[in-house]
Amino acid sequence: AEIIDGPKVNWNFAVWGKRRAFTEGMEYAAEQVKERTGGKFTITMGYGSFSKPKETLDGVKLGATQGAMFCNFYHPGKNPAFMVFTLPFLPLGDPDVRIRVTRKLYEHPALVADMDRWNAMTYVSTILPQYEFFGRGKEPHKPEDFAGMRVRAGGGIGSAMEKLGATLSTVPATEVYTTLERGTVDAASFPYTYAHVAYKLHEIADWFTGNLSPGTSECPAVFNKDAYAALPQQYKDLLMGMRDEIYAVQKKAYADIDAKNLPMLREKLTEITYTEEQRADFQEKAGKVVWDEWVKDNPKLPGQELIDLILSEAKASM
Amino acid sequence: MELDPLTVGLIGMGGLLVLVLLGVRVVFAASAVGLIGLVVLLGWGPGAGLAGTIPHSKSVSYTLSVLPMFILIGYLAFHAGITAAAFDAARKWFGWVPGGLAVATVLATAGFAAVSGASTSTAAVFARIAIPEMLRYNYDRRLAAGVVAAGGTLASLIPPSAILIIYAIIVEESVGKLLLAGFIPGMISALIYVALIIGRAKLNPKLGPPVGGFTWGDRMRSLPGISPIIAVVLVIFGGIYFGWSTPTEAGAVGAFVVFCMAMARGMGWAKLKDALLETATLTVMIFSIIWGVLVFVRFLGFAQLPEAFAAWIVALPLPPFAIIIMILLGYTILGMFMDAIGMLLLTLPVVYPAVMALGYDSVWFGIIVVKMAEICLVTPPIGLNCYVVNGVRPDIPLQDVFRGIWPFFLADVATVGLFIAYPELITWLPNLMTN
Amino acid sequence: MTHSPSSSSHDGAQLLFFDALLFRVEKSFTFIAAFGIFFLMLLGVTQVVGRKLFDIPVYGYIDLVEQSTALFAFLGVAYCQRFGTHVRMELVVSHLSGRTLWVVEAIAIVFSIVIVSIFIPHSFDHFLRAWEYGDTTIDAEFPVWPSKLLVPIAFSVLWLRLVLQLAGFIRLSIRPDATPVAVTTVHDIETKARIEIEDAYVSDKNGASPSQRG
Ligand code: NA
Ligand code: NA
Repeated sequence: AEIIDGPKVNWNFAVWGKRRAFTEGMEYAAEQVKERTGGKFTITMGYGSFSKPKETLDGVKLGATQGAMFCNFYHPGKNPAFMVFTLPFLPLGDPDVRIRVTRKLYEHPALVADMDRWNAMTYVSTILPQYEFFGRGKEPHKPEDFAGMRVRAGGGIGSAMEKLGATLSTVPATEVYTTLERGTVDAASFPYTYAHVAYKLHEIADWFTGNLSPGTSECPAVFNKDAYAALPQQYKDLLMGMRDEIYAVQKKAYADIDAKNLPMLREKLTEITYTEEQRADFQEKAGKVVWDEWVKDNPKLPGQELIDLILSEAKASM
Repeated sequence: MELDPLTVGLIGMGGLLVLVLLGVRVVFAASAVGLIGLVVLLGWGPGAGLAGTIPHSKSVSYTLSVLPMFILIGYLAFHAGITAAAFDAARKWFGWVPGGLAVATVLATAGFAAVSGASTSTAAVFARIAIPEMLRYNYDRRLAAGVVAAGGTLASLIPPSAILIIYAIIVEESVGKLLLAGFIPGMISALIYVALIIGRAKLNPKLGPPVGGFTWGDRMRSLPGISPIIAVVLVIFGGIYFGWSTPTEAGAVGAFVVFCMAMARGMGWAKLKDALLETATLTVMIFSIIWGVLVFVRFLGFAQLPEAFAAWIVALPLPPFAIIIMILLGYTILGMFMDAIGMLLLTLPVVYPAVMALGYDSVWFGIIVVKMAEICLVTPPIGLNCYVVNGVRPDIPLQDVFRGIWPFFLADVATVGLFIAYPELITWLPNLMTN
Repeated sequence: MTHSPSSSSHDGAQLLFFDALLFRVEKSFTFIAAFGIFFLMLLGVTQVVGRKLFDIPVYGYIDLVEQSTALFAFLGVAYCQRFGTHVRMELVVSHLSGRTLWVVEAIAIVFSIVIVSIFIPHSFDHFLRAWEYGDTTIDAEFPVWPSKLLVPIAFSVLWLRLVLQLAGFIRLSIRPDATPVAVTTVHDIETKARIEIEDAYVSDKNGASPSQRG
């Protein structure tokens, strides 16, 4: 392909942790941008070296980094409208549905306003997978089975579990292995399957839920608006034209890791799967109730409108 | 002229060295260089703005909250009368072996280390409790002084240890894992000291005669005095091992147990107030260096210096083993002149990624580095522990203390060699317990 | 250690007055930090007992602990500066004396003042962002601004302490023979050892606690 010519620009992009499926999309973007501009436009990925995970938006606002990843549930107060993605039992299990829905939602004025405060604009979603449960002991086959269970779950999934009568236990992610092993918690939810394997939960769990799809989080990649505006048109076009490729890379990264993990998980542990009716039962008992509460608790947000938008957009893409 | 980030990073490191040498306090020197560096690289608004976020964002963390708990345990332990009780129990149980009182001193300092994270105060306290007892039984005064100075260093290795927690914070390793990791190396260090003393006393009985005559009744009656130590060890290890508690929670329960015992032994409001005030002062001191140095680290991150240094180290035409030895020699030299905490904070951000790039284990390196820092506490010219012993016992000249230290210093070098040859000695327990 | 004048001269009396005034503020701040630590201990016990025995963990425990660290991470910072407890390397300064020493110390303090002067407004901005745009903790969604506000507050007291120390060092640079007031002095290695020992002794006799440095 032809080399895109332009001025020399380097962007600092803040992520955290280690390079993993979660970061493959932006890694691809960084690599492609460099290649297609002949090294004129570069994006330096800083793994924890530019920002703390919970303060990447501050870094963008200050202009210290030109782009960053953030996760909505780290700081609900910084991004109230984005919290809609964290509601439980939304129909966002399929990655293609997810991509379509997030694209639509990113354009909604409430979400745009959230980002405006941080002088940021959304670029792509990291389409984080659904959080499934890994646990020991009694297997949860129906909503009632979660009653009395001690679970580690945050945000909307946590609220849903409370509705089902579970006790919530807040344990730092790094301590989940020990607490699950010693029986202080019975089950823990993490993005499926890569985070479970990253925290080695498969070594100590008896069972896992394969398709409960209780909910997820939204972790977008964003740019500093001024930095983006200052780019020459050809660089802007390059970035914006690459989004489908990034989503494809991101999907493949999760699929690859599932392909590697799932056979191992299925061999070692009991996979609990749910029928459509069972999932509807969960949704009935712990989904809509939590949505309604969220709408009520956030009167400043067009909460119901956002939920309806997700539902209609998801339905349209089926 | 535009400087490339790497050059700015190197200039920054030089500038920091100058400021620290001039006696500017580490928190101000490090945060100043970090702030100026960030401003140079990012411009005034973003650079100073980012620097302004770091004190809060790096201090306000759940993991760091474990620090004041462990510091508090140490202060309260003094009030629970643990030091004298530990020596008394160790003497009654192990006084009968050759060099028995020196052996008892090592074991008592090791036991006290389980509640205290401070080497120098351990040395000071035991210089006063153990040395007179040893001299009364005609122990060699160099041995008596050396064993106290060396025994004090066990406090930083055996958990709880402030310095291990600080290492964990800088390199983003699990605090629980590092605390567990210090246990066996600390015990091994203590046992090597014990073997050394017994061996030397056997060869030369004049060094330190056995001290016997205690009945099993005496021995049993000495145990309640050290019950706070046993309680704290059970609470912290049990809590982490059985998953009842995170390190912070275990620290809180441990502090509470010692607090109750200290109250039961007559610690009043005034003493509690002092202990809390001292804990707060030491805590803010440690937090200040942490955030100050992390401003500097953020600057290094934007300058991409750690990556560059790691790449350079890996490309050196030397085997990793030789590079590790060189790094340890570097620490030995730095440790001659610097406070252990300051030394670790200033060097680790650059050295750690390089050591990881060489393929070494991060928990293993933490223990090795802390052991090195402790060795520096007993070596000339600024082996603070030796000065402390000499200060408590002015009748034992400083040269005698340093001469008394020699055998222990050699034992420590051998211990480090042992840990390099058999890294599992360090990594086995934390891997077993936390995976 | 901060010195008090041994002579009855009026020189330094004003410094001494401000020193005492500021010390009251510093000490109350440090007391708040100390109670924060005590509270953290009780909270941890409640959490473990509550979770283990009654299956009732403290609501938002991790968030609460995290936010409370700001109390003891910052509030005592000026108190610590007053007593010269912040870590530094005294290899060079311990060999200086008289006017040279005071001038070098004054320069180090000027440097520190400049840095703290920059940190105060920018840490305040960090608070302001949390206040204006919203920022909450991860689980219990507590507001984060109070803990962020503690930083510029504590740094402002530190700034006052540094200015007072600068005045003290400038006074001594002009008149090296005057009694040191409102400044910290250098310890050589023997003095350091003596302080460690005194602390350890005092702990047994009078109940003050030993230093845990080192
Ligand atoms: Na210790
Ligand atoms: Na030394």
